[in-house]
Amino acid sequence: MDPQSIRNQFLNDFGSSTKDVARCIRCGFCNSACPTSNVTSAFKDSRTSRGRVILLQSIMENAGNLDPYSSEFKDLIDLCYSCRRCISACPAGIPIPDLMSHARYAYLKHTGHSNLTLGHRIYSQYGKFDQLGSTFAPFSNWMLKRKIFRQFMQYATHIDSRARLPDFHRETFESWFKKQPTSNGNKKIVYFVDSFANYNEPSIGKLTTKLLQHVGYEVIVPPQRESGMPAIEYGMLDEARKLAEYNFKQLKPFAQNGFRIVCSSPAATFLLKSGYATILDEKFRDISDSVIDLAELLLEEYNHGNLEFTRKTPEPVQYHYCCLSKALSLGPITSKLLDAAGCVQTQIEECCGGAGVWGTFKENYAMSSEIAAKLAQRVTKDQTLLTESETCRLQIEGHLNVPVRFPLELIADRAEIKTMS
Amino acid sequence: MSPRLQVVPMIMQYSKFNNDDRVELEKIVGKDNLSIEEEELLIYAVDAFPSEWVKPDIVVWPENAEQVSQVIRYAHRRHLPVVARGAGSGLSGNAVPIHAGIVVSFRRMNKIIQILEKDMQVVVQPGMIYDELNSKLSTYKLFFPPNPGSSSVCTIGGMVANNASGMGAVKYGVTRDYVLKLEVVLANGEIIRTGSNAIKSSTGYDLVRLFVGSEGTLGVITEITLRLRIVPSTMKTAIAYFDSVSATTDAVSEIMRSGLSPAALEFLDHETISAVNRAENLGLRDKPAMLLAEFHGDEETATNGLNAAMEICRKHGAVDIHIAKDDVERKKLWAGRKGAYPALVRSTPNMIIGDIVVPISRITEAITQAYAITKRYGVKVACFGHSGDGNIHPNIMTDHADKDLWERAVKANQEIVAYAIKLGGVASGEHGIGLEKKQFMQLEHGNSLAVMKSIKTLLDPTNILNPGKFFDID
Repeated sequence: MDPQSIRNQFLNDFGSSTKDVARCIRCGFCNSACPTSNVTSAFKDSRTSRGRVILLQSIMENAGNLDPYSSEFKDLIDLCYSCRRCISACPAGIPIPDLMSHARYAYLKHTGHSNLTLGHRIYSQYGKFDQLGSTFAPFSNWMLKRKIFRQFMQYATHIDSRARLPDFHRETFESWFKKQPTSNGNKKIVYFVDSFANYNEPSIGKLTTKLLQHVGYEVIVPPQRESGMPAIEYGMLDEARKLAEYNFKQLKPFAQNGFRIVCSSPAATFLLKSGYATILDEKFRDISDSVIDLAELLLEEYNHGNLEFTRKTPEPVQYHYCCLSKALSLGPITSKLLDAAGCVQTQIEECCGGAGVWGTFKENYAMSSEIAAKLAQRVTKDQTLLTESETCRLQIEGHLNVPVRFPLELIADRAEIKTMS
Repeated sequence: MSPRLQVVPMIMQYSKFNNDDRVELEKIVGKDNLSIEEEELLIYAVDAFPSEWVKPDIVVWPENAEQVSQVIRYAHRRHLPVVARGAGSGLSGNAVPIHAGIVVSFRRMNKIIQILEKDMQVVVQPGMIYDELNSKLSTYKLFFPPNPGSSSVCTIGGMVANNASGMGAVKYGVTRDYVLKLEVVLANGEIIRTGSNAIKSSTGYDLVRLFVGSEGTLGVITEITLRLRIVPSTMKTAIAYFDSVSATTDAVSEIMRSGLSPAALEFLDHETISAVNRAENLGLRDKPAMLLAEFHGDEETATNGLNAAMEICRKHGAVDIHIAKDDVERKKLWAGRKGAYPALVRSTPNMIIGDIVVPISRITEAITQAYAITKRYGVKVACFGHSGDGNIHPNIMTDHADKDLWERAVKANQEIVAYAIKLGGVASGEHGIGLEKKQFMQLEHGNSLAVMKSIKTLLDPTNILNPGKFFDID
């Protein structure tokens, strides 16, 4: 194909995102918010957020000779890890991470999935692999702690042998939940658990259930698959759409009947609330208004007098305001909830560099560490460190060697709600 | 391809860049500090101004002044154009390499060299980002005041080269007022140091002030010594709404003549207020004009200043005044003003950002003319700006994809600028000349332009430094 046809094909697959690319005024404000645009190697402008958008503009305006299907271009696009911090910095409000997902989609459509590493393919359907890991737990956990296995795994999947990965649990949240007697709350709520709280840390799912029951809800857990953030990030939009379709089909009847859908993971909240609709298909917006984050729901219940904090001693905490919580503007909500729980907070705005699973790839590990090191300068080790994101917690614990808790754990402690075994 | 403001360089015979040049430059900066890759060069082909794309032949990232000097010495010997570049956030095409050649990016020279706390001065490399500098200076309760709108990304080198400023200029002045000393690489590669750490001087020509605002056409700045100010202990802010633009500007004029020293006097017209309200629910009142005033100092001075200014606003018919009770409210008031630019950008596919300055007694006339001119061309304009120093941004809504609309917007902009110059004003208060405002240089400077050209020819006889900017050399 001649260069012009190549560009036309790329732009065709890139779709309506071209309108957003055209709106970029190249002010570069996004660079100030973008974690990877502020690492040492980002002195090259091609490795910055604005650089990536300018390259897309060059394709659209037929300037220069950039091959949109070159690995060099793809490597630069892959420096965006969808933290979404750039969107609030952008005067035009351009959803830059979504442009990158669509650019990867166009790239994959032309080059095929064989260009993805095994690690990308595993993460893109992490629900299935989490299920597998849980089935073979604790053996799978034992394997993942063997250095030799991790080195082999790094070779095969590109997942860095040093990256901290979550454990698997033989008893999943789902299997535990099925054994529970039906609670008799005076109001009903749907819980979208997502994969992590199901397979990797069922205690989160259990504690969420307990908190919801404590404030008077009967909890419904419909069939569901993982929310699918990695597939969206990698540009595997057709695969992501299948996950979204499944979850949408399960959740829509509840939304239509006035049920609210609560999520304990910021990534799930983000996708169900807006991500599916803005990135994949507008029809997914039909459930958006029903989706609520756990922190928001608990604050609401606290304001209605349904949640009381019995432990009164003030406790100093550091709240890491993770990227997706920021995208959802959850910070002030969590902050109010922690205030109500008697926590004296310091907010840490810096990104941890984990970015879901981006930081676990060997190609990204050093950069991820550099970003985490900036966060480390803000962390006071003698205070409880909190974050809402499961993967931020893994990243911070792995790189900073400090324990991290979820706000919901502290909320439960302060309300003296015990985790069910 | 979208219509863009055309870059029409005069025919200039520069040497053709070749692989030997790359090898020689690699010897100077090292292989990791240069690139001829397409994906790199494309980014340096444009800045924040909608010009045509002109790729440089090579981009280099030197790490010290000596490397800059050697690069320029080489370029001089080979007759290759050199364009210095900070963040590339300029709005006038100042950093677009329209004759290709070498882009010298300062992204690796981005450090504070020395903080002279007792003298309230700082020595920095040109690639230092403005907000980062002030963040580091805050430990010493010091700051560098000009505060341009692009503060989160713009570099000190870019600010000095453009003589940038922002919302605080009415009290604190502009970048030029703070530059004490410069290290500059001349067109032949020679490194000079000009200026001193003394606050005043009556010795010789003021080369520092010559290089400030010269947009890399006279020399390449490699080190900057800035004087600083003490961070004020108190900031008091209020907004006042008016029933007309003229009532607002009359109030501004009286505030400035009253001996008060506002730290900001920001004006928003009705079109801008409406755009802010459409974009974000900040609760601005739907009035013909709004003025935000801020005073700095100790509690008493700031409070008294603000109250006196608001009294003047009332006298001129301010219909609603809101004084911030605390810092949270103050930030809310500023959110309306700071939301102006993003709101306008979101409201239109593209926007031509004006930057005229007129004497404060002529602001009303300049704005009234901007409305009349844009009406005649059938385009929409929204004005906001730093009314305390007469700097108004008449922003014309347009669309690159609509050739006719774009051309009408360009023409309207030309007439607005020409009118401002006629009123005793200038084409640009803080964005610089670059490519876009070259067309106004003759009109604004008359026969003094020939003197400027002589200076350029003296310092850069072979015209290798950012050629094609400011003016064309015959």
